Amino acid sequence: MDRQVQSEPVARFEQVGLRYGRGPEILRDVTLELPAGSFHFLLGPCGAGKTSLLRVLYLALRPTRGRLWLFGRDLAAAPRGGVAELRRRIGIVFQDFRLLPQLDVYDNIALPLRLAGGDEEAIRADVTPLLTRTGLRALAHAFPPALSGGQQQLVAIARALIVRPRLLIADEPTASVDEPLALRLIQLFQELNRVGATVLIATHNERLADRFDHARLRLEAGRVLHERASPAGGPHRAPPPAPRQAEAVREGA
Amino acid sequence: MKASLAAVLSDGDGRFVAGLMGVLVFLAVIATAAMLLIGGVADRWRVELGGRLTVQLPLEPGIAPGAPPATPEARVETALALLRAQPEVARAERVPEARLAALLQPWIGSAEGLQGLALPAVIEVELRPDGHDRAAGLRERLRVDLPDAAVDGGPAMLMPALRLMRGIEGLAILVVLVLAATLATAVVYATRARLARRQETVEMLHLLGAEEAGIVDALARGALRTALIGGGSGFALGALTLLAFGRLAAAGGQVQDDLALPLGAWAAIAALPLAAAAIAALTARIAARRVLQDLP
Repeated sequence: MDRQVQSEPVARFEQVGLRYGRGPEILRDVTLELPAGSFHFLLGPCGAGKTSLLRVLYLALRPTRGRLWLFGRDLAAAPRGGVAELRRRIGIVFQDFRLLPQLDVYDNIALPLRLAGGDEEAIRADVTPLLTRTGLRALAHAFPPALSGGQQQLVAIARALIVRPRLLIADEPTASVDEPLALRLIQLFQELNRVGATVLIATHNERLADRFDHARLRLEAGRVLHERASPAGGPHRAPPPAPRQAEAVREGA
Repeated sequence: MKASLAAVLSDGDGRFVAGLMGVLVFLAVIATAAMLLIGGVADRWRVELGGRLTVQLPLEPGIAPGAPPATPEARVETALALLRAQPEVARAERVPEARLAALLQPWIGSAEGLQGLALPAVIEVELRPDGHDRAAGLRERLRVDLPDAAVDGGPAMLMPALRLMRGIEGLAILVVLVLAATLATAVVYATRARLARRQETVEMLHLLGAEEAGIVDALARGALRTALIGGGSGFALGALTLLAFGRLAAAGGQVQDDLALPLGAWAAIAALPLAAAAIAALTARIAARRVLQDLP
């Protein structure tokens, strides 16, 4: 395997706590590291705090206590103006997709590149192959409301991958797709991981995680349990499934 | 299709906001023009009519008790000399008898009817511009020096009419202020509502790493554009209405002059849509900054 785990962690939580308003703590004393180039599954039942942990990690929430380092920078000390640049290093697959309904598939996928100031030629050169790889080429000019849940999931994943992020965070990325496509999506994430990206996938689908030999973090009642350390390498156990077209994606789910 | 940040943040109800602004700017244009016209007419009345007096001098000796015995012409000359010596008076001239007769003829009915009437000598007095305020003192002096003369006109006589004009002008100013406040409030609320509808998009762009300044600029530009389209349409419609009104009044001679807006007034009216657009852009900027500040 060509993946190489580097020494400096991409993300480091130290005694992080999170509560919404005056409610109970959703995350408690979370201390963990995501080494650069690592691949983790974040497991736990619904309501365990997986999405909240991810939201802290992709800078949608500030922890109410503790400290967080991202790409070696202490977020508490980072100037506000510099955080946008950190965000552009992160690819996010939201549980609810959060596609912009006024943009077509192509523009949704191209959006992070445009926000980063890319020129149209370079953007087209990046987006077009990804549309092909994800089976979305025929839907390039369709708008999200016209897509099935699975197709929207694919667009959301393509939008996260397009920036070749240093950290990819996916919240239940396989929730809306059937098993073969779920395996294909994890394979996509693995490909990104092989070229150096750190990947964290939250899922409640333990059967899916069991098919891959990746490190696991388990959240229970807001606390993180390290189930298995990041392996030094080794192929995942699931064979890569045959590529599928987006049209075959199961709707809803 | 290339989706710019402004296009991503635009919304479908921009037309409604632009239409609303157009109506408000149109009303503000009409009210402002009315205010300026009324103010202009009142000023002209005060200068042109308030600066004149009419002195009627009976020519029959002994009509006024205690009047000095003199020939009629001598009495007029004495009165003219007295008037011209007053510091408030710029000009004093006797109205020719023929003009006086022409003025009276419509009231009497025929030229024959005028014969045998003891018409007074009429002297038109034009006050100096700085003498308007002292017209009451002048009238008092004339009452003493020309006890049998009747003095008409001047600021005192026009005062009730001018007071009415000022009242109407004040009302017009109030209407303009209320409309301006309504316009500003509508712009602020429409801009905030627009932003609220785009809040999820703003949050999304923020998470994808958009620079805050870029989001703020895009929202402010969008609000400015909508306001300029709406306000510009309202201004154009208002200006056309005023021009049409001006043409209708064209047959009125003096009235046309009274209803002609000076260049300065047009500049003030043209500032209305620009002010509305500036308010919209500023509101969008402030509201967008507030939204972004609440995001981590």
